[in-house]
Amino acid sequence: MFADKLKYMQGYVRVRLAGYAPERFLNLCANHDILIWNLLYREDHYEFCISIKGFRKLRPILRKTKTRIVILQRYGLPFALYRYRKRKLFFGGMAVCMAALYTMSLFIWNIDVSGNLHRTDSAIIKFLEEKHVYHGIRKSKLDCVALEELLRSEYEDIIWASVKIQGTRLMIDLTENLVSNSAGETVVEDTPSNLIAAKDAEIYSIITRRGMPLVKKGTAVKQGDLLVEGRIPIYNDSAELVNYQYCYADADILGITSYTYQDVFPLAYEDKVFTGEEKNSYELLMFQKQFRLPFGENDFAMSDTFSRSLPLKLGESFYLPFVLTKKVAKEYRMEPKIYSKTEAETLAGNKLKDFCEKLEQKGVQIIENNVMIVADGKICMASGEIKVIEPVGIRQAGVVEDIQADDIQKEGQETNESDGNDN
Amino acid sequence: MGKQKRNRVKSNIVESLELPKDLMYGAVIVTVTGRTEALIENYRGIIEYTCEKIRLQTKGCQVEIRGKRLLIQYYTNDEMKVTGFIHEIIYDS
Repeated sequence: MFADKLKYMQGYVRVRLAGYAPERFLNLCANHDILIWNLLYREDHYEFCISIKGFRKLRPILRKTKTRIVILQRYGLPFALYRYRKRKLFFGGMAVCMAALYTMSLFIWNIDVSGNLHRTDSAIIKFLEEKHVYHGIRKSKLDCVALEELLRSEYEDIIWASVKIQGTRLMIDLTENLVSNSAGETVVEDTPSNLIAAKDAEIYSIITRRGMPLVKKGTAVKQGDLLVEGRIPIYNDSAELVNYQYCYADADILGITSYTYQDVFPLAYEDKVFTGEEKNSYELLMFQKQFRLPFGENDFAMSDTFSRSLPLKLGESFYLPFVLTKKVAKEYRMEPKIYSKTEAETLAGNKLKDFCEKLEQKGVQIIENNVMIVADGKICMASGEIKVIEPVGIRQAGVVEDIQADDIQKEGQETNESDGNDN
Repeated sequence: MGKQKRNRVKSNIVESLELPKDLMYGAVIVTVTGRTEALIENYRGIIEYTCEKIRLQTKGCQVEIRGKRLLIQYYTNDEMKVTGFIHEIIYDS
């Protein structure tokens, strides 16, 4: 394959050989290292391919073997160039193309970020843009080493960064420090805080890991009530308050709460019926300016429009400033309809089911469902109460009260005074 | 007699030293792939070539390839590739 390309680039001819001793000619060619290929015997002559360079060396061999040679066909680039030598614009275009290719290769056309788990690609690319590293920057303006340092100093959790240029791509390899991320969370736990009730509930279970529990199983609490206190009182032997120890309250508190469910809808409704009529229109967003392409005007009385945007991009992340939007307008009309009793009940049932599923997705366990669905006359009504078990504790930052020092001091003064009075 | 003895000594040396035979004897190597392709190495020259017959001179003998639509795909000073439908390969001394 490669040899064929090379032969084409160098140019070759297909020739016909006839005369007194063609076999001797062939042997002499081999001895003179002249390559001959696709050698074929015809009735009274031979046909073969030979490179231009080889062809020029044939004259003495031809004379020696008393053979004659006729060129049948010319192949290859040198002949093509010669044939099209007058097509100046073609050669000009080729030169311009080469120049354009070279010029384009001087810029960065794609920034590839890999190895990032917590930081998104777009966040890093945005940060780079702020530091004047963007799609389309001159390669010569880039300092990869400085960029690596910049990334490491900006993001604390990036512990290793490698920036290299591959062709017109800027490859950024990162390694994030996963250990420091989890360490960051533990630091927060040092600040004292309490757990309070998020809503009115009856405590279902409470498991305290740290802090002072103030409620028991079965206690009814109101929203905002303190459940676990992060301040642990310390008493001395005579049951006097000596000091407080502050901690980050931590507990699993489940409470029974109830949700009121109310859903009323009329049995008469209007239904959207699509007529099947559609119209397509196109818009072009160019350099932040919207251009409407002049066809496919929407003249429906009522219609839904579905848009689909196609941003033009080179590579994965280099977006050109053009966005083509296709809009499909679908005509519809409203038709009055009435739900039957069973239809209305299934609809209400489905809505209730959706509501319950949404609750369960939040990690809530439903224990009682007392919702009644009634459809009569003109409306369908679903109402009732859903009892659930859910986590009720929310965190509230605790206040470190530095009272004990004052109290002790005051107490001390009081005793002194009393002593003085006695004396 | 002298030539025979020299040959025997040479073959003994080649055998015992495990030297490549094609280099030491200048022997022809014919590699045939299926019935359609033959590669001949270490040949000396073309004696005759038509569509039905290719006759080559090698160091010790002549090799004749008979077949149909024989085409020499390429040939150099010591290697030749023949394609076509091969009927027989004959060694003449």
